Amino acid sequence: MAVLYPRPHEFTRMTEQTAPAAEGGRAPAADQVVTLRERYVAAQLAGDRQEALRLIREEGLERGLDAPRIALEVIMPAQAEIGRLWQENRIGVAEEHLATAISQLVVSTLYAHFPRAASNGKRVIVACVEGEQHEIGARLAADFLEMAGFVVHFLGANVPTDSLVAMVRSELPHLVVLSSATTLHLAAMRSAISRIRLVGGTALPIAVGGGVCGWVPDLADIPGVSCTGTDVHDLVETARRLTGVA
Amino acid sequence: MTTPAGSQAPHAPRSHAALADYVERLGDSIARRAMAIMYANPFWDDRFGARGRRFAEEDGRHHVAYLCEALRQGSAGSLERYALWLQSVLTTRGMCSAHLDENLERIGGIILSEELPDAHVAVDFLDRARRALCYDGGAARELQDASDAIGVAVRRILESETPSWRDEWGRDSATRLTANVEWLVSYLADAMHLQRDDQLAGYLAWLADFAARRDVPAKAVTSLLDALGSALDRLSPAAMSLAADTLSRGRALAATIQSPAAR
Repeated sequence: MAVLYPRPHEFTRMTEQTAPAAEGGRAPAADQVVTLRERYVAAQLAGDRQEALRLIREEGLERGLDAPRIALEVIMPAQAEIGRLWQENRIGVAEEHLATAISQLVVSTLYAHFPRAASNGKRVIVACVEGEQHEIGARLAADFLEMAGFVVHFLGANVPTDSLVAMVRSELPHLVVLSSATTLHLAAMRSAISRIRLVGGTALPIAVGGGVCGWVPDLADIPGVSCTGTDVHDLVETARRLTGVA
Repeated sequence: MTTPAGSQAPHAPRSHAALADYVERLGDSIARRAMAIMYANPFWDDRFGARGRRFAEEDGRHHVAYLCEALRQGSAGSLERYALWLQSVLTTRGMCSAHLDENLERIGGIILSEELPDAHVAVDFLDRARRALCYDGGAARELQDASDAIGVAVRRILESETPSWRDEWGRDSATRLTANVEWLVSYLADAMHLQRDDQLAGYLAWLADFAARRDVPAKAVTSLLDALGSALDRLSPAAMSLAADTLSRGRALAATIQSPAAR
């Protein structure tokens, strides 16, 4: 049977933290978030982009649910649900791609609503390694780093190692974040890490994230890897530490 | 975020990079040869067809790729994780766990036949992945564990209650019976684990059609399924009840399926 690979849940974790209260009102309750997520998944499965966008705008943002929380508590769990439905053969590849394309559109619209700290001047390159097509998690990692003040170059899915290394050489980033969903592209990951080390030196930190972290618990022991993880908040804190941001 | 354990890690796994390189170079050949062995049995072509074979060879290359990565890590963990994930994908798409188990076993056999240095390590990793296909407790696991005993019991029941079964199943009747029972039990265990009667029903409908096209009388399939139902008394009462109910519902659902093709 054909094998496709599950959507990564890169850099995400269902958080229990309380969202900041909306202006002049209370923070949306957890059950409201759950309801929004369920309705959003239904819109994805119906292939209804307009409804998905309306839900996020009217039932999310306009009801005080902030954009970062929507990204982590609605979009990524919805993607996990879509991945589960594909895995269990409840939906086909086309439906899964349709649903994911909707989330990519929604995440694009959320970008304008993300709060941003003042720039800290530290440059970060975020990329999915060569062959890796799952990019939403890496994209949100890039967005969260940018919100925290980092200057981020997000290169997206399936970045050829040659091009990635060339960009590291030209941009001289303070941190490189590499993403992969499973171990299938770990060979490309190893190659990228060793070649980035050659041009960036041992002082350049390299973080690894994505679903692969759940498949390989001792991923951090791969030579050249500075840290691994799947939580965006942890990533931001670690990025601050590794790049010397106060 | 997790940081490196460093060179002082007390139990750093030993990488088998050289073996991984060997196996990787043979990857396409290994996948094709494993499929060739399996497709020598007409079951595979009839049930999954040329398209299924193409996908299966593609999957075989993935199996080898994941094996090689696990060898480089010096740990079978990621291969076990892959097997578990793939099991959930394939068992909802017309295959049973025993099919995946057989594929991994064949790949191990081919690697052994290449007489590569440390080939036993690759086979050991594959064996661990195969063991990961055993469900983590519950009635489905109990059924998996009882598969061989149920196979013996089914044969005894048929010998006792349907003495004509050898004639009905034709040439290689004993071999065919053994394989059929193993796969039936596997499909049943998967259906119980997944709570998906439709997965078992799809296989039962195909089996009836397959048997008819090979001049095996319908009553032979009925006798086989009846014997399987009786042999489930080897299980604990709770597991037997769940297995018997699932089998019963699967048979009823199979009778309503018009086109049993799994392709």
